[in-house]
Amino acid sequence: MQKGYQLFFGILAVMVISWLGLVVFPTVQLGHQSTRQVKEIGRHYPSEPGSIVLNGRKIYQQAGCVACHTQQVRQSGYAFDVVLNEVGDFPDSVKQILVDAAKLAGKALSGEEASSQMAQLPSTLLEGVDRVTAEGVIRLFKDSGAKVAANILPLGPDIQRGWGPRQTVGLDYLYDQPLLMGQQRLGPDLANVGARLTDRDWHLKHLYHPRSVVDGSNMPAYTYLFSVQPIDGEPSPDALELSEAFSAGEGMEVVPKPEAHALVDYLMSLRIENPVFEAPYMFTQADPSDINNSEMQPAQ
Amino acid sequence: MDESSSSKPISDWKDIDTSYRFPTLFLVAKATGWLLISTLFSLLASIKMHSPEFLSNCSWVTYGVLVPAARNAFIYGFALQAGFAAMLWMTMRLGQVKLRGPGFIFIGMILWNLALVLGILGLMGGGLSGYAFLDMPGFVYPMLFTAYALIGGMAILTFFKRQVRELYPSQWFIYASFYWFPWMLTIASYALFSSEPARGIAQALINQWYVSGMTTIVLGFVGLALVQYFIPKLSGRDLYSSHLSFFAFWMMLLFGGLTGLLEAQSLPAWAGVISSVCSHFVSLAWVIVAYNLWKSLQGSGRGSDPFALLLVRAAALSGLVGALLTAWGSRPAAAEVVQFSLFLPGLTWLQLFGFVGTLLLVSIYYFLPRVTELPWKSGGLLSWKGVMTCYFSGVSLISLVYLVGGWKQGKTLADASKSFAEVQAAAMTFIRISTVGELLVFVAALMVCLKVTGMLIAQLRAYIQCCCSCKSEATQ
Amino acid sequence: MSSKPNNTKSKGKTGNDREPGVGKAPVSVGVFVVTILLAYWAMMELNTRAGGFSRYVYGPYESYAVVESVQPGSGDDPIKRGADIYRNICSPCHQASGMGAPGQFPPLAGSDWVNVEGPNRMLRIVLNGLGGPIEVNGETWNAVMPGFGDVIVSDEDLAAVISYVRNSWTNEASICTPEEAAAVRAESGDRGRAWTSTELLALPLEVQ
Repeated sequence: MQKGYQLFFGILAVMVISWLGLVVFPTVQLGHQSTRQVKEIGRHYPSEPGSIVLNGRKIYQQAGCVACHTQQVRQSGYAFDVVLNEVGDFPDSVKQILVDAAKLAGKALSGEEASSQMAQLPSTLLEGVDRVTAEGVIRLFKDSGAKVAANILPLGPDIQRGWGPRQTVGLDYLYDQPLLMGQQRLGPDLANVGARLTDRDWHLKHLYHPRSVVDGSNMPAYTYLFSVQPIDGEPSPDALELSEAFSAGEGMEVVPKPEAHALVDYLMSLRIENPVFEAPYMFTQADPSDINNSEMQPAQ
Repeated sequence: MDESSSSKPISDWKDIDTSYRFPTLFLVAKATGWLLISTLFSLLASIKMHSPEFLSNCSWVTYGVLVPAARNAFIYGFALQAGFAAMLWMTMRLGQVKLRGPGFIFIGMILWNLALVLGILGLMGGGLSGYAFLDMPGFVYPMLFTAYALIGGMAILTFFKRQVRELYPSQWFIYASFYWFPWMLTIASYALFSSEPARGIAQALINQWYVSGMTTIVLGFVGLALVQYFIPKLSGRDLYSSHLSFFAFWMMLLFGGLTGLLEAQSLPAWAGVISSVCSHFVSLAWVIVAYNLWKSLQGSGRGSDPFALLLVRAAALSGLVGALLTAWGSRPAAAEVVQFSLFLPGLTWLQLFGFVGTLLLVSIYYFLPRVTELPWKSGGLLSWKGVMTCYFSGVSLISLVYLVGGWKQGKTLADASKSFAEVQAAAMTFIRISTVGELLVFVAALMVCLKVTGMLIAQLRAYIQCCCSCKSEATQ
Repeated sequence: MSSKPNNTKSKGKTGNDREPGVGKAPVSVGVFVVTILLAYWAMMELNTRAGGFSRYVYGPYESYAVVESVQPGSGDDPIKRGADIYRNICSPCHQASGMGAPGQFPPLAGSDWVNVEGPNRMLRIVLNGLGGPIEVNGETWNAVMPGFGDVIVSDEDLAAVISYVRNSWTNEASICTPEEAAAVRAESGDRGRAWTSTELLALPLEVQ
């Protein structure tokens, strides 16, 4: 390697390999995904964000929120709940299989306990067992007439903390331009913050002064998103209801600027509320009382 | 320190060095200026990390803005500009050739700094792009590329005019760095900022490819070129083996593309495995380089400048530890803990400030007196030893505190029974200590900047006086 | 220092400002051995943990097959059940790819008989078979398909395999319900002879 041009072509060749493998391949494989029908929610996912949410996203991007907050939920493992859904026509043999199944999972189960399990359906036979055990148990019930199912249970500290029901995957970020998934957790993860914290006023107060709602919070106050103004006759309907320690002073009120509202709209739109093929979990229909939140959802 | 002006027979060197005087002085002055800005931002950000009320009502200086501003000022302002200066110096010295087109370099440098000023202001004023190491708004990158084409083009022209045809290992690293940067910048900025940018998490991989290329290849290779130049130079011995360097060079180039902590992020499984594999190969290459350097040093005396040699060795150690820790952190078991913690900034500090930054400062210290024919003023706080001790102890402190604090923070984060307030508390002591380190680095940057500016002013004054006296002689 | 600096040996002569030289010590065998071991380890990693480089394999799931097998309620998923039935009964002719065989068996993937509003005609073909010429995607085929009404006895299975075909490869059509399958079976189960395409085209698309 004593000639300049040999060096040049060598480096060029490595660059081309690197570019093809690490830029072109991911662009084709991951960048060209399209939305997908998710049967649990009966619509295509993800849906395109509306303009209000995008405005809020811009504020999030400009303030550099990504420096302290991730939007990615990790999953470190998975387990299964084995559930008995139907007993079928041969309860006696099912009872025996229940005892065997418990033995397979390393537990003892008496006949009475098995009967009581069969009495209340659906009943969870085993909780948090690994794949081999779950498959073994299901095999036991084959031809018994009973219906059992293994329900996937994503595991990991993030999921246990309630930061999301499942891990986030590439599909979730399809409309993220630019991508703001973050690398630092000086603050908590926000991938599912819209579902975790549904109170709009809480978000506004938190942005105006984090320590007014979370003791010992380390987040800076984003006071520039609010205007502090003298109360002109009637207080503005929009003004924040702050406690004594954080209020703006006598005769003054704190009114969120449109930017603050947009940012809160964006935060409340961050939700993980359906399984996807890559990250399955047992989906239960949303509580009807949650439906009134759907107006903050990104427009279809 | 003063041999450049003392001994007679090196008139050749003088010609070479002086051809380089003004571009270099300006490059270095600008670079140290950006170092000062970067460390100031970094210091402010560090204070904000534990005192959230500090400067809290201004959108220009939120924590999320200061951190990328500091990072970009360091990379594009200090490291790359000082890197250009060092690489030009090594190209000329090792090729025994005068610099070509200093005028173009000067224009390129002005454009580069203009782009950078606009970029940093744009970033702070609401144009933050959200991509690590590419945080400045998209319009900056074509400007940086043009400026680079002028500087790098002249460097490559100088390289091809070299009189010593045989290549020293440092030259491979310099040229890989010179070639890699514009390609990488073009590809990544096109993929992320064009009218039809990459979608979804493809952006994360392209961004990580850029970050890894910048850390391991572009800036990492500047550091490796310098360390393989200075260790033999300062110890007065030959580099042990060009074959070992050769081996390490291609291994790093091939696998430097996607190092880092991608395991357990929201990326397909293959991305984490590739990053882990690449990090391991890069760390093996680092071990080979370290072995090569260690063999070169065996049996050498104290060398011509023991303090500089000590710094170079400390920098090399930072680089080695950084590479090994990256490989370790990319393993799934470790990644689950260190992921999203302060560990990652710790690694960045170790690799960019500890390894590359220290070597660049040593190079400034080494060649500036030779180029300007002015010795450093010694004595007092402004002594070289004082400045560098201040810098390196600050950087070590920050790296150590972030790495250990990151581990502790990550451990707490991985324990779901701990609340987030406890996670925050776990890191807080370390964050407070890091501010001390930031302060040390800032003071060091301030002193370096003052020194270099003083040198530039002295040089300009001498130049003007010379011109005036020539003129007055002509008129008499 | 000589006046012609292109002789590298002269570099050594100028004391402190000597440019460094480089030795030619060979790379020891150990370095190669370690590199090869690392490369072997890397291959194993890529083989076992990279999920076959699939875009669908994330994190703790080991492979595409695992992701597929852990889908919730996979035992009851009609499409999954349909895939099993398809593999046993249909794929010998229509192929696992749904592309059929040129000149012998018409394709199901992208077929204009599959991607229609309702499964009425498909159900009848599967139950009683098909004879005579049939035009699929503009091409005329002349093949005989036997009926599978006696093979696929459960309406749930029948619905499952139809749903699978209607939602696999590039096909996107509605799910067929067991009720629809039962209705069609009740109406034409005892027909006893294969359909012709002209007869089918006269029938509505959706199950009445």
